Amino acid sequence: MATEENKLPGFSRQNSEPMRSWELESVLTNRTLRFVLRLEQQFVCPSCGGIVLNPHQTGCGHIFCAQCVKAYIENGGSSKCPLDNVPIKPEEVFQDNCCKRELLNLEVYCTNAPDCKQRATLCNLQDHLKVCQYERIRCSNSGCNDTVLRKNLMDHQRNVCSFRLESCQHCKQS
Amino acid sequence: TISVSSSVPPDQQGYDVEFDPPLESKYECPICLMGLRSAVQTPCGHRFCNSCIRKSIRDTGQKCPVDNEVLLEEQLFPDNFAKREILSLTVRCPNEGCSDKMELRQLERHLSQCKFATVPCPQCLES
Ligand SMILES: [Zn+2]
Ligand SMILES: [Zn+2]
Ligand SMILES: [Zn+2]
Ligand SMILES: [Zn+2]
Ligand SMILES: [Zn+2]
Ligand SMILES: [Zn+2]
Ligand SMILES: [Zn+2]
Repeated sequence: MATEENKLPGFSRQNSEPMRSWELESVLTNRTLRFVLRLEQQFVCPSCGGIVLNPHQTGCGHIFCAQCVKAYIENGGSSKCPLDNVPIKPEEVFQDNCCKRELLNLEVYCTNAPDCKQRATLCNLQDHLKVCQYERIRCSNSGCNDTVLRKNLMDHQRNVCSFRLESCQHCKQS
Repeated sequence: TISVSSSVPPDQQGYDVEFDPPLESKYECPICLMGLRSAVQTPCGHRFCNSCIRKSIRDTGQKCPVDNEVLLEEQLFPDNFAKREILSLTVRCPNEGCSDKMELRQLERHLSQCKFATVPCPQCLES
């Protein structure tokens, strides 16, 4: 998705990279985000109702996901903004990186709350989840398909896992 | 440091008015340090008054004053979201003695009717 956005007609005046939007999407998949402060309207896409992904602003001053505003434009004919019925002109649509930066700096609770009490800015959430002790992860022992909380992984692998390496009873070596 | 643009006419620089509650920094022009007037946004995601940034590009070079990213005038887009938000903010009438508050978009009309406006005395041309 990152590469095709820059080739859309009307979006061609800008060269800036979408700022890590692929990471934000992978974090959002199957997770509900809870923001510490009430989420302002500008960060909610009027089209899909979700958090704006790679926000773009129309000439009438409304902010949508890149894919959502693209869908309006490609509808052919005169596509109108759903909020005020003003026609959306592709050449007036631009990548709203100010909105994106503000969104990525908003604080959220860890997605493993309430067990995990940590907070992170949205842009740092994925880094936290890589070390979060309450994140559910797959056992790395080959053959095992169990998922456990990261904080319990060592105990599982040593004492519980069906595929753990056993100390040899005779020579006390694993 | 960013020098204040002294020769952009006052009616094109940012809104020099008392916001109540105080203006958030996200709606402040980094060049004139006042409320964004005709807000525009750069590809690097920074907002400026339309006049302030165009003067900066012509005087100081084709770069964003905040982060030195390359910036050409034709890359600027009107940020009508920010513009609408700013015009909705509450401001206090600047006339001494007037305690009225209103949306920024209503200020000009109020000033033309404000009872506390100082007007030149028609006889001696002093206010
Ligand atoms: Zn959307
Ligand atoms: Zn609109
Ligand atoms: Zn956590
Ligand atoms: Zn296992
Ligand atoms: Zn300014
Ligand atoms: Zn910049
Ligand atoms: Zn007044």
